Amino acid sequence: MVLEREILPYLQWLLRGDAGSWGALPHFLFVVLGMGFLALLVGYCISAARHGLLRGGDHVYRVVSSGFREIVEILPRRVWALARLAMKEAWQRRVVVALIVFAVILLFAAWFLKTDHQDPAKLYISFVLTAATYLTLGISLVLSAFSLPNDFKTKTIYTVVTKPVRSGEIILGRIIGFGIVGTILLAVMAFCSYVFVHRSLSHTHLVESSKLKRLAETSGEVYGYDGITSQNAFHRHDVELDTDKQGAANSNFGHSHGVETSRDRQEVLPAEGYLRARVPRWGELAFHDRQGSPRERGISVGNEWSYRSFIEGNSQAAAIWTFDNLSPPPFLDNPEVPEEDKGLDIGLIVRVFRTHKGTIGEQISGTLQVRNPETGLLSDASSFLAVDAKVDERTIPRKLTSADGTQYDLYDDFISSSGQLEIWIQCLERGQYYGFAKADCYLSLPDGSPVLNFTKVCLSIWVQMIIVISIGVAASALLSGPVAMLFTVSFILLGFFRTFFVGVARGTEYGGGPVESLLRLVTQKNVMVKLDPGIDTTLIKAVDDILQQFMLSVAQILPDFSAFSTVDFAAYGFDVPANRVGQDLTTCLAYVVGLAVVGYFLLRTREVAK
Amino acid sequence: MTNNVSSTDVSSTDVSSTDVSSTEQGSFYRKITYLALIAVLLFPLSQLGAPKTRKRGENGEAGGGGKLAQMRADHNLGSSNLGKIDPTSAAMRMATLGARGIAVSWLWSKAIEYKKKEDWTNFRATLSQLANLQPYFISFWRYQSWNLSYNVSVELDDVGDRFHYVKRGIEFLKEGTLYNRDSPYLLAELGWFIGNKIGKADEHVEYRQLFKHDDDFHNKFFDGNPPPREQRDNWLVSGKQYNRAISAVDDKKKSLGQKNPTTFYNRPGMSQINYSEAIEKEGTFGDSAKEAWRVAEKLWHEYGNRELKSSRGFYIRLAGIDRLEQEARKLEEDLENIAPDLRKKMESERLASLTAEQREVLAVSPAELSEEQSQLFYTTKRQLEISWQDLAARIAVDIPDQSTQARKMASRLAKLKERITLTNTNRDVSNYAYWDSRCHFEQTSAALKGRALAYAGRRAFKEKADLIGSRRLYEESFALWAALVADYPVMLDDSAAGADIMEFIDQYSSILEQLDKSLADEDVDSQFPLWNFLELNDSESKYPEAISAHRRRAGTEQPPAEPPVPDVESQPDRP
Repeated sequence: MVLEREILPYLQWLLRGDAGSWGALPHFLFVVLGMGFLALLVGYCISAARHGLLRGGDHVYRVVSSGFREIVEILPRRVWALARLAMKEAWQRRVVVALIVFAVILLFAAWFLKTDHQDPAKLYISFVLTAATYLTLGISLVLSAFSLPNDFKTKTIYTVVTKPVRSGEIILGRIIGFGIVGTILLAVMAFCSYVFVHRSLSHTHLVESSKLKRLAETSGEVYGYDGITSQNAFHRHDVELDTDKQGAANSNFGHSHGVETSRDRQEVLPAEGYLRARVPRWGELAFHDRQGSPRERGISVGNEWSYRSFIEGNSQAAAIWTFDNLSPPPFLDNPEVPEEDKGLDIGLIVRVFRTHKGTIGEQISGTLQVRNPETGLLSDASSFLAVDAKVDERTIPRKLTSADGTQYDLYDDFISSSGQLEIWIQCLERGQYYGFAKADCYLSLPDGSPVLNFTKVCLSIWVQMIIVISIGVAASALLSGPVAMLFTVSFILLGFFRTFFVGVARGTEYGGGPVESLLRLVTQKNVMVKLDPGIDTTLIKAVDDILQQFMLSVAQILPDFSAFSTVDFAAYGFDVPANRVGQDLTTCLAYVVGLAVVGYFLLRTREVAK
Repeated sequence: MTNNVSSTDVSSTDVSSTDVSSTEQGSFYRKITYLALIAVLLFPLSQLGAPKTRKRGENGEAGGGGKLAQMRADHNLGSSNLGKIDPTSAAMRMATLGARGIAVSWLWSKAIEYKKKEDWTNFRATLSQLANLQPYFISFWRYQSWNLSYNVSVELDDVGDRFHYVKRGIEFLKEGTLYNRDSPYLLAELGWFIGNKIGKADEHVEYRQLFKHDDDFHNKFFDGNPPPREQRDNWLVSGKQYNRAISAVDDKKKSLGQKNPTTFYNRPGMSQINYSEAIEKEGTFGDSAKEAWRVAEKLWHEYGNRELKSSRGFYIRLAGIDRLEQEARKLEEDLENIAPDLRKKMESERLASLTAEQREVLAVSPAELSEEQSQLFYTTKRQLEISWQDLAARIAVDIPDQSTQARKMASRLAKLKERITLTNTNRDVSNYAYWDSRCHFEQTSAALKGRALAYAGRRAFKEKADLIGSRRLYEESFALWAALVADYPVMLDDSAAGADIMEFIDQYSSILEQLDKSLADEDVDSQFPLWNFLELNDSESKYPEAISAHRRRAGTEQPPAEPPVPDVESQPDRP
């Protein structure tokens, strides 16, 4: 699982934020204040120009005060009535076509998808959920952007405003109505997607009894059988059976199968492990360099992608994860739980980098130790062979020994009084390296439900959909349908490329600001070549400075659509953390509230809503 | 007035009804004419545009269709001529609604991003989408299959995972050959991947085994007709792909483009040579190995006797160098014989025409020439050279009745020399002479036995730790190699054969080391017969002491040079 953006605990994200960034709430309040002030200023200027300085001020005051009064006086009954109207309108506009399109996509998906990948579930989940995302966003865009302008065009808005409804209720009703329609569509798509993925990946194999090899001790005693399954879905499995010929088809292509034998016929059970929801508990990662000195990161082995950093083998270099708030699990005192199951389950992903061939076919060995950060007690090194770039699920045994051979208890002796535990990983072989990122080692909690996890991923799509609907409705309160759609599309596009947009605004992207980039495009000048000094370059830089400030301001309200997606969690078989879901829902709420207010005031500028 | 009006109305009605009926009639005839014209035009159209049919002609060839279909076929313009027509690909290209270029660029950047972030599943999926969008773009298949087999595979640590991506690259390239039927580039690349990536990678021992035993791969690669296991050697399969590439050029008249024919046509032979080497390294000797080398020699001779288009446009045969040189020598003799003493006379005349400065510089040894002198020296040397054209021109002056014959001979000689030069250059490019000799000598019983003994020596050392037995086997093997090197001196000069024998010497040396001995010891020296070979091939300077000791014993070592005496006067004064 690649986790390029750290998921902060909900309250920290909401109030304090990360190093170098604000908490979400202060950021929201800052934006509200900034935009509110700007809106007042612009509103007053326009009003003053039309009605004079004093009357203009009075006008603005009345609009704002009545606006706040209306917000307070919003009645859910009326909002619901308008939401139902929006739903009916959406139905009349044949939104069901989206489902037909989705069905067609799923029907023909098999043309473009194959199960011959080493991790086919990842591909299938990514494909269907990405298709569902784009389709949902597309339909939300069209519905929201054209709804109010159409009402203005067909004059039906006049029928609505003759009823005792307020502008804020119209906006909220639209958002909620289209939101419900989108939710139904998304729910159907999600259900179809799940069934599609499940059915596409479901398969079984055959095992021929005659081809099973008997495994025997030197004494001749048979202790099991091994063999290989038939090929299906582009792969086979190695089979390991016990003396009763019960066992498993080992993991390959991201799944395994159980094997049962009855009447000397082996039956391979359906695939297991394609869709998982591993629940990880991540810690903080720190490094030691080859001399054993603490470092924030390991060394770079020259990869362009700097997600992981590396530790050198046969040196004091180590990757150290610190886990907080640990407590002994409740099953420790349960006599029914076998002693070997009372250890600490962890997941470990190692990226191996070799500077020499080593012994071809042999994995690079390393050691794993646990340490109490308070007492400094370090367990004896337990060696392991690195399984490159795959999740290696291991258990740290409850009974551990220190280097001097004294036996200790994992929970009693290695977890500090403040609930902290360190896991140390080192590479043993000279000239070879292990690469790690923070998410590469985690404490493994019992797996969550894959269906629930799938639902959580769909929730992230839902969040994006609601934001698009809110933007579309707010924009359509003032603009005509096509313009509102263009505006919303721009918002979505910029949102999907927000990182790049912010990069250009901050000047960290190659090629300079917007005008400089345009010049380079037209003149086909390489981004690494500096512009010739002169008045024209000075002018371009000055204009870019202004534009970049404007872009930075826009970036403050731009939703980061690429960051909303949690498809990768399901694709890699990890549970979407609750913190992440909470953050997405809160962000969504903030956009709905903010955009509803903006939409309300924009609608108030229309004659009909005054 | 009213009547008039009425009559006028009536008459006008009559006129108008007549007009209407005549107009209707005209319209009807016009339509008939149009229909007739359409019918007439349909006939040539049907002849021109009739599609190609599956129905076979008298000679069993596919129905050629109309003129347009034939022209498409002749000029390879139709999709069906390029290769597989795939509804997925066609649907995807149409679905982009003319924005295929943008979609392709976006997918290429996505592929680069996925590769950077080591997301191999999505990387491969993106390549599949790209393949659907640009199935007839040869460079795409070559580049991305190389990416999979060479770049992605090495990113993984497990040999099985690495081999998985090597195979994926090969399968991807194979898919490319289905869309681009008979593309010599893709077929040759397929041969290269199967041969060199599997047979020459660091993991070649494991890869070759995995390749041989991968029934599923062979089943898929050979469309359900896999070859028997003994023919599933990667070098043999690679040779077949090279033969398909050659057949595409020779039989299907596909263009070789910028490919060098010398390095294109030698591939089947080289594959067989690599196969023969590989099976011997894996312990197959005797008749099987001999047969493998015999086939290699046959293929190499076929390659040598093939007419290859040279960079100057004319055809050369690598195996025909002896005949060309013989012919050239004969012509030279004949030309000289027209005026036997003329060359000497011309030489003395040219020498006499030199300036004092030129004479002076000629007297200096080339090693002692200054930069300015050097230029003059070589200019003078060139001035003294008498070409065949010079000789013919002089014959024309001195013996006019032999002029035409001499000029013809000189011209023929110049062309022959050019052909010889080009042939030799291309022989060097493919190392023709070396592989020719190698294929021959590897079939000798001495070579076969020498390799078998070395292999047995290695096994005795590694598997049984039998140092004495292993040493003996190596020494027996070296005795045979020494005799072979004497018979085939070309082996001394080439690093490919040298590397093999050096590997045996290294293993022998490590056995000696465990016996507390070394090549430098006198008793070992006397029994080691490959000193000449070792002196020439110890490029890594592993045995300088042993070589030096051997030279001392043989009395061939040069005394160490005296250290240079510093020229005190020429040194600058210290401050």
